[in-house]
Amino acid sequence: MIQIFTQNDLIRYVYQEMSEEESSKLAEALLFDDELMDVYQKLRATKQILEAENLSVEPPHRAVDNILSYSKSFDLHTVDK
Amino acid sequence: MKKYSVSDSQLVALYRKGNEEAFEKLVNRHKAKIYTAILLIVKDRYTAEDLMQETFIKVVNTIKSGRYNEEGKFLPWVMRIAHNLSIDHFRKNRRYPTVIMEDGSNVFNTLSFSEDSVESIQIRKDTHSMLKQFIRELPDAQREVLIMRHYMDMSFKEIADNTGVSINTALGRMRYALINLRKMMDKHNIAYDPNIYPK
Repeated sequence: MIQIFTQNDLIRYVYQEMSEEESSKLAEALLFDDELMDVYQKLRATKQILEAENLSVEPPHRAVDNILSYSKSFDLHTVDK
Repeated sequence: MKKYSVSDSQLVALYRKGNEEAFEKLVNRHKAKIYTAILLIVKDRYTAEDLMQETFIKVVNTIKSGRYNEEGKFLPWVMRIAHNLSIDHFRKNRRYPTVIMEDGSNVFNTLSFSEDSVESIQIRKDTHSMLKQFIRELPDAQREVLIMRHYMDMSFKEIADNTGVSINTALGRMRYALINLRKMMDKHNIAYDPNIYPK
């Protein structure tokens, strides 16, 4: 018997947050459910674009310098928490 | 996820023993990811810079005072600190400023691209430019989950815990974020092409 999966289950599948057993059951369900397969392909393609775009911005050097200076002079600080 | 010859936990262990170079390596390894995640939430580069420094001050204080829990992973832990500080700030100052760099350009114009053919680069630049706009247009709750999952490497369980919702709600928000992005992409004829987006 084919297990029924929700569209939220597809998100867990696409983001690999599913057990192997559940994943293989979902993969099987996709073969018999065209609508689920259609949604899955769209979700996966969109996720792949987001991953490929790799939105990344470098912080200014001064921020990094401040952090490193703080660490080096840590013993001079009083930790408030 | 990238593999490094020296792991984060090895660097943290060295740092705990007073090795400042190990800390410098950790900062340089993760600074762009942390800064970008903060920037996507607060949308102001000066605030993002402050919050990134505040994040690392907490990291230094925690590790150097021997309160760091070695069981957890370093980056997700730092990301959680960054996220909490960013959300606190965002909620106190609920506004949407335009992100402007020192030279007057929009922050997203500085985003990096992998080396590729001129045509592919142009297509990706166009896509990139539109995608950043689409992400900005998402409802707050959906954008928040998307940032936490894609830029902070948080699991849906962690996202649910951090945002005070059920896992199902977090999953639903992610699903709607992807569906909405997809609709916007379809409207602008952006499709996944493995030649442009190699795995």
